[in-house]
Amino acid sequence: MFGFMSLYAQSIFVTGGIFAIATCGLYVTLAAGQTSVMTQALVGVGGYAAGYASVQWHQSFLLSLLLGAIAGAIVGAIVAFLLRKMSGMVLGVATIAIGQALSMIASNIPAIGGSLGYSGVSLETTINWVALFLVIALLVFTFLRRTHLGLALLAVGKEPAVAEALGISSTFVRVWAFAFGGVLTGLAGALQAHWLSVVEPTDLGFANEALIFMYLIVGGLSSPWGAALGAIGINWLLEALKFTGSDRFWILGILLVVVVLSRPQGIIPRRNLPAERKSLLHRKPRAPSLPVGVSIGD
Amino acid sequence: MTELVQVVLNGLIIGSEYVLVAIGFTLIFGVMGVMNVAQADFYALGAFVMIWMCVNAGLGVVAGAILGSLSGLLFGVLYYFLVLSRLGEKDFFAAFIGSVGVSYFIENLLTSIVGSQGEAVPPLLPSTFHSWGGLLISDPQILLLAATLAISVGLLLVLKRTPFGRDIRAVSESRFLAAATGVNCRLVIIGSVAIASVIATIGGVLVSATTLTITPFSGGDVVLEMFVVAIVAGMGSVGGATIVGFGLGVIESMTVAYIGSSWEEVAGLLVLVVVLILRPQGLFGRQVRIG
Amino acid sequence: MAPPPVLKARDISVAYGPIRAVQEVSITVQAGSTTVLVGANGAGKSSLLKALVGLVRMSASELTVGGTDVRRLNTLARVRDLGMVLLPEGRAVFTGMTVDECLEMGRRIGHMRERSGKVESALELDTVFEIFPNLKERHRLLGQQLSGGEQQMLAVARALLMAPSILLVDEPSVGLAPKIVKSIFQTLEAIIRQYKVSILLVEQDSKLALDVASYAYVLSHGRVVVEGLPEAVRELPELRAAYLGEVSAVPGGEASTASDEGEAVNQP
Repeated sequence: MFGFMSLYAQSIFVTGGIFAIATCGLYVTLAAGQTSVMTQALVGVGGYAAGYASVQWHQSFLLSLLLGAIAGAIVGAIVAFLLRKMSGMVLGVATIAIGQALSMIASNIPAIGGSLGYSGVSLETTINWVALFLVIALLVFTFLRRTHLGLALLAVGKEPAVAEALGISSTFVRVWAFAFGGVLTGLAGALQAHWLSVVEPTDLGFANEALIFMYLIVGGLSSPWGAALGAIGINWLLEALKFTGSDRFWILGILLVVVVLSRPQGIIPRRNLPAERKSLLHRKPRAPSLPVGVSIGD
Repeated sequence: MTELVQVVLNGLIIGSEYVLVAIGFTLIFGVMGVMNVAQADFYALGAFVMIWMCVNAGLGVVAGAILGSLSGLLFGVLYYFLVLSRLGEKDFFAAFIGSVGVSYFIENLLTSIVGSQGEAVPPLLPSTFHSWGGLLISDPQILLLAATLAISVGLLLVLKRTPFGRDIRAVSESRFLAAATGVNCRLVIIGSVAIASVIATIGGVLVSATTLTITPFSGGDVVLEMFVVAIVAGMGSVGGATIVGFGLGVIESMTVAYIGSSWEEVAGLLVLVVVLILRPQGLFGRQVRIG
Repeated sequence: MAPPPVLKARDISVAYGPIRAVQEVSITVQAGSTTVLVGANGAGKSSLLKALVGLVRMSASELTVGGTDVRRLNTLARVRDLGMVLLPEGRAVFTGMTVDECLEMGRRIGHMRERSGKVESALELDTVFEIFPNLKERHRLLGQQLSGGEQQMLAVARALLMAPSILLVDEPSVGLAPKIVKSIFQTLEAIIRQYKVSILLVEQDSKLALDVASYAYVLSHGRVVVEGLPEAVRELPELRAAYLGEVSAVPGGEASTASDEGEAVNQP
């Protein structure tokens, strides 16, 4: 289906698409108000699960993808449960810590390859698969919004106190938020494992977390479609910037900072009920200014 | 017995690094409410500036060390005006992500310039080890330990005894009230950022004097410990950060000595998660400033 | 010829996003007077005070202190140069500082103002300790170790040391027992008498406020519904109505009581 693209272009799309799926996962988690800064780690978890299933248990491609997604969901749910009393930045920092810990634990377990990682995963991922799963992910999200669970997620994200008062258990929602995010992220990791054929402990680390947030921010925060576009767009941009050599990464860093600076309403996605729409440059209304010279009373 | 003391001593030296990065980090959080991830990268910058001064500008080692240490002033102020001042007010998560972006920028810029292998640091002091009653320690390590103690005690004294320190405490507690009381909040914040940045760069210079090498990711290596120390101690608590920083160093040293070196960093992370679950405000913190 | 008003504000509006907390309020504080703003919770009183000092964004067609237009000045300038001192609601002191340190912060401002010629002379610590012997006894205690009433006294003492041209007091009675509130107000009255400080007082307890007032404004839903001398305002049905919410509840809507916005009763 994508034959019109060169293999080179296809490979960019695959990498971008894989991270687009992961970023959608992050989007779901953030939309429920949970600051998760361990997306990269969950990708790695999915990758390891898929890799192990594929190589050790000789599972089929689809099954190993499923296992990757499930692994991501389970780890996400456990983390959410452990950290259920935290929120905001403290939660974010805790997730960073857990992500790093996972990376280190992975490098210490010889059964899954130790610090060298896991290799020999079958090369199955193609652009068709990636595109398919990306579309599925986005469609699932669109339908999710109309379900009770989806609304609950958004409610907790926007107005946690009100949600609690309405009887929505915030722990329950958080666990689901992380689990859902974990499913998509784990799936992305599984796809990546079957693309690169190798999974390494450093894949779980914090180093590339910034990139993921960049996809999210640059792509526009009002929908996961934007997140997906951001991921693909930035990967394309990175390729385009290759002429600058190794400079392209720090240029990207500046881009992230500039985008963050120009979005005064903040980063956490405020996905509203369909009635409200916010554009990328929406600004808060200022206090009304009144005509000079009008005086009342006195 | 001396072996245990040696392990502890090594731990204190490792901990010095964490203390120096963490007290700056927690200071900035106290006055601005921002978790500045890039703090750890300033630490590496200090060492790099020193190398460039010595190698490219041909300055002596001591001059290079001093300039490298003071470079934090420049970087901190620049960082404040270009980034922090525009971010801190709006959304603290945005500031956090912004600082992640700056960190990413610094690390990759350095990689572009020097490559990811790292550079050798011209030795500030000879690395000969002395033996005092069976304990091994080298000159650079003594300097590091002494400087760390001096800096943290010094900072605490400034906070408790000087008018500027009092203003810092006021702004940390309530910027609103401080402004209403006539405190020049902007100045206090700029000053705090400058102090924090200088402490970081001094740390970079002194620690690299003990290891004699620095890479663009040396900062990133310390980020996690920085978070662990500051949060476990309680954000905003400088004294707490000192104690916990040394403590973490000792824990890591003992983990390496008695359990195995590959689990070294996991120990700290587990401590962090456990403390956060049980006592989110940290061991010495009074209240979580930003939820 | 009367001296210029210490503070004159016209058409102040404060909005937090879509919420309009203060809508086109105009007030005047005469020199040496105790002007009070009364009204129920959420009437916008606190927001107004914060806006006057510059801690909250506002728009106004006029805002002068002692004749100087302050609209373009930041909080620092308003406090240090113009002597606008705010006593915020609730936590008016730093819990982590000692009484001495708190007072020292005030004294520093007072001295600055004295040295730069903004005031003739600023109070010294000794004088303040004479007025507040309680504080002298507890001078080494931390803010959090003081009782609510003592904290409020400390706030007032600190404010005095800052050599204010106008004291903006936000709900001093909140959270305090009536006896303590009474003694605070007595102290305030004594200070007013002795030092001729101008005060703009925001208070929910209208009886208490009207007892000390020389002029009163009643706020409801961000608008002034009535103003005038305290004896007159006290009797007005609008006062009761403002508290009981009989005024139109729609933000931006007209006051549905008989008196129009800004109607004055027995102007001074």
